[in-house]
Amino acid sequence: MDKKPLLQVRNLKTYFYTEDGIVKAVDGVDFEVYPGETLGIVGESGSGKSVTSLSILRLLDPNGEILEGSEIIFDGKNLMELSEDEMRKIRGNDIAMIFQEPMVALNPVFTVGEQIMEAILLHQDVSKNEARKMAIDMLRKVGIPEPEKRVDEYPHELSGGMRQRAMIAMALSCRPKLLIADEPTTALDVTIQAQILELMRELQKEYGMAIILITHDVGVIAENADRVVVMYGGMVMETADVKELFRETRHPYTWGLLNSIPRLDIEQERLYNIPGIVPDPLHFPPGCRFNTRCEFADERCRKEIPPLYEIKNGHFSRCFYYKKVEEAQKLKKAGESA
Amino acid sequence: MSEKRVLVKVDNLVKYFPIRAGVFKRIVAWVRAVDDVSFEIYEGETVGLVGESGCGKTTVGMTLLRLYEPTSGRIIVDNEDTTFYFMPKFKAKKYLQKTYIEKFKKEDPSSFTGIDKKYYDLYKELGESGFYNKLLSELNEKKSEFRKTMQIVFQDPYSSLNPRIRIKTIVSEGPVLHKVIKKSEVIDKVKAALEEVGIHGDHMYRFPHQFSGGQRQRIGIARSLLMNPKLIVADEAVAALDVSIRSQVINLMLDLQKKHNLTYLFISHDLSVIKYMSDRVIVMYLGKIVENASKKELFDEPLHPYTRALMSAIPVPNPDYKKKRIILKGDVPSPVNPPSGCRFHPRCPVAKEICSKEEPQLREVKPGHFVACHFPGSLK
Amino acid sequence: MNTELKRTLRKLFKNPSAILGFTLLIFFTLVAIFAPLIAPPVNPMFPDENGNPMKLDNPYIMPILSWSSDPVAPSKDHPFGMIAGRDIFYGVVWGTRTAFKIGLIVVSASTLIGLIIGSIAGYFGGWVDEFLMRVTDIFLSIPFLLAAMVLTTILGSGLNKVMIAMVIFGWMATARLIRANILQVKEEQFVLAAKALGIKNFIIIVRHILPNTIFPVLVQATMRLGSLVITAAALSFLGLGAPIGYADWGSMLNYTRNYILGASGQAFTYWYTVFYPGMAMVLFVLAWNLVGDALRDVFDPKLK
Repeated sequence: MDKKPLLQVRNLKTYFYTEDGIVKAVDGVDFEVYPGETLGIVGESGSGKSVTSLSILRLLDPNGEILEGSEIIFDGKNLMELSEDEMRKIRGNDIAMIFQEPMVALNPVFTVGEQIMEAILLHQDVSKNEARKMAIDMLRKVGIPEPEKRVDEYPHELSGGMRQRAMIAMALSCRPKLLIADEPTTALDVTIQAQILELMRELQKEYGMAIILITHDVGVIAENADRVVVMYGGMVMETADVKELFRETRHPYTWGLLNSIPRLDIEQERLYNIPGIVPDPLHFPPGCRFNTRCEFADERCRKEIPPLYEIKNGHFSRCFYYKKVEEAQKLKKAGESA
Repeated sequence: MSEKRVLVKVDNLVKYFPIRAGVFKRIVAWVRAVDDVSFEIYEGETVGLVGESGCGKTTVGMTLLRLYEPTSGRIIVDNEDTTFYFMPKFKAKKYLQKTYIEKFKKEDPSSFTGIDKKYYDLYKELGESGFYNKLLSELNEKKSEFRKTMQIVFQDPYSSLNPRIRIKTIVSEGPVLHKVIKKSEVIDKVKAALEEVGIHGDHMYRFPHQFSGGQRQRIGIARSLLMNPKLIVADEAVAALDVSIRSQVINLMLDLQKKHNLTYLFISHDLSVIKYMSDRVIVMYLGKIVENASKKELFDEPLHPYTRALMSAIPVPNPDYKKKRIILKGDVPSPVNPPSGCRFHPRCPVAKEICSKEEPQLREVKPGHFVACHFPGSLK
Repeated sequence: MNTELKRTLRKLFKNPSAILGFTLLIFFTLVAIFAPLIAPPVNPMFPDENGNPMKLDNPYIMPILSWSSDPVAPSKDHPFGMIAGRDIFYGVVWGTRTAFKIGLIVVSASTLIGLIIGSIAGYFGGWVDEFLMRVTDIFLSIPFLLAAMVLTTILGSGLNKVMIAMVIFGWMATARLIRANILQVKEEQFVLAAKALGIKNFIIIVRHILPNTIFPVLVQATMRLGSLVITAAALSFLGLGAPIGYADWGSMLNYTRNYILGASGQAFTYWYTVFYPGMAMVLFVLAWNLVGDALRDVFDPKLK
């Protein structure tokens, strides 16, 4: 982990100005991504995980704004200072993105091949014929059978899993250094999800790219990420190495989340309930964003936003009482072994 | 198991949807959504019905509740054949004739069991026309009883409540119609039902859009609950909820089950939720049941290759957990043109020649453990 | 709920064309309501025994004030001028009432028919749907003006007969629209939930489906209200509609047939005979269209 980070996000604040008020979708987020690793961002609806990824590519809706003072440093360049033209060169070439719903990202009036070729021709100096060959190779690489035939098909002729593969082919056609995958498998069946995740692992090994994997599924994170960022209410709640996060949880939200999911690997008596509802991003509570649902919360949590405490090297928690979580975890482990 | 009472018995249920095309809307093909499915649900238990999209699990639930009419098959609820309740009278009579009278005239009465025996006795007592009259009388009361017995909770909390009417009406409409509650006690009963599912009783005058997804799902549960049902079909009832809300609703459903002695048919694509909720699990693939066993049996020793692959595909939230990954090839085939023989054979890692030719029947491999596979347990 | 209403209103009043539409509509409504005050229904040519102008039996029949049928230019007594011996101002004012009458009655009747036919077709589907939609197609394939002419020869001419013709041939768009919307809403889970509760089909349609499908129909009806007045005017212009002398914008244009081109060499001599009734019609249609647009913006969440 002493390597230089590929991407550094510093104090990222993205606000949306709506008729009902200001939505602080992302409110001071810091993290970095190292070359070749998979960073998992996990959170529920309204946690700001998707807005974070769109902010990195500066692909926000017109009413959204990245605030002054936010820094997104990619490969030594601050993306915030680039012109729209320079940004366009980065998108698709150095940083590619895949989405939950491939039908949104794929243009229905062009064939799959044309769309992959377009990306290749835009960023690389090759002839049309070469681009077509590269597109077919790419389709083969992502496991699409009969790529010579599929290259001339339209997106609607492919199944959901095949579409997702085609989108990955398109995203990887220019060998990006960073791939942002926003809920890439949420719309898919579990057996297809397993195929796609396997494919992404293989391609990462081959290309050595870094991946930001955004999902609400803690299981997908556990199996695919190297490091994890847990987001809630537009802020980072906890960051750690994936094994560390699951073994040595230090934030009440992460702790509650892990105990509230039904699991295949262990027997569970009763699932833990995180009380209350997911807060509306228009009306976050003052102080710690999680205080209304936290069992450890007190006066202090309702007034001050806790800083990110560094508990260990690379393990951060935004909680005044992270020690209490540690105790709860010890208790639970003692109970399980007894 | 044997001492428990069967609440719902489904015999050879088939549901095909027509695909129409052309000027005259001719039927050009059939979607074989559910193709010859039989199972039982015992009183007080939770049956988990699991499978991927297109496997027919939702169609089973919908057909059970008669939101779809079955193409063929028999649905027995509370030891009464309910299949003909929603048919026009001439069709209902035809159904009774084909299902019972013809059988009674041909077969040996001593071989009849369950509903057949019950109806045979009725037929002996009343004669043929008396039999029809008895079963086809008071159909409206029977329908009402059917609706009271079985209720449903839907997946999408945003689409399952009518956005233009108040919670009070949403929750009380059914029970008032079926005289489960009197008009005069609507306010008290709605309040109690809402509070039971964790919604403030005074909020009954609000509209659905004033609640969050989890709260709406609770309201949907209250709506079913106030009908005082025996069985609730939960169709992906927690799939659309945020993770931290999901466990709230799951726990609520388990608490209500204990309190009201409810039976659940819990339909989900998520094996981990199924494992937590269910007593028994039915696995479906492309319109067929491939495995049916108690939870412990199924998770300790899944016998169908598909069940095993499904289990290995579920991501486990534990980075230290080592599992063998079985990645299935290809996509789920279309239920319009299902593969020959065993429907799973094109994707099955252990398929042999016979699998593409002969369709395996659902058979009891171990006591209470049914599986439809020529080589059960061969995928390790 | 309240905040939503407020937001809706705020949005409406930020939109200048919506304001124009509502202002025009309010203006027309006021004119229609206060027509007896603005243009008293009396005939000064025939004083009664007290010397007051005689009250008209039917205020919609424009009194004849002069025996000359040539147009008379606007003056102090007749601010919009006169034609065929009748006061154009009087006709425009009372014609507003006629326009509302035609629009509201025809639109509500044809919308109701369309609603019923479309709801039945959409909800029950199958052969019922097939049959009703083919009937709709047949009605749509008959040219409206031709059908209206045939119908008036059977029923006889007159404003009421024209309105009947417009209702009979005016429900198809509504039926199609409501059917399409119902097909969509029918699959919503709350409709399935209602079925699972054993609610009767009629109640499901009226309580659960129609309230969620009706707004596009209302918007459509609003827009149609204006254009119907033009259709009625066309029929009156052809002599099929209102009787001679009726306070109806279309019939008034009928008088101008001989004067539309003006006198020789002076094209605009008789401009007022076309301008005032024509302007009333244009503004009336415009008002309803703008209001319809505004309502669509409010009700269509996709445009938010």
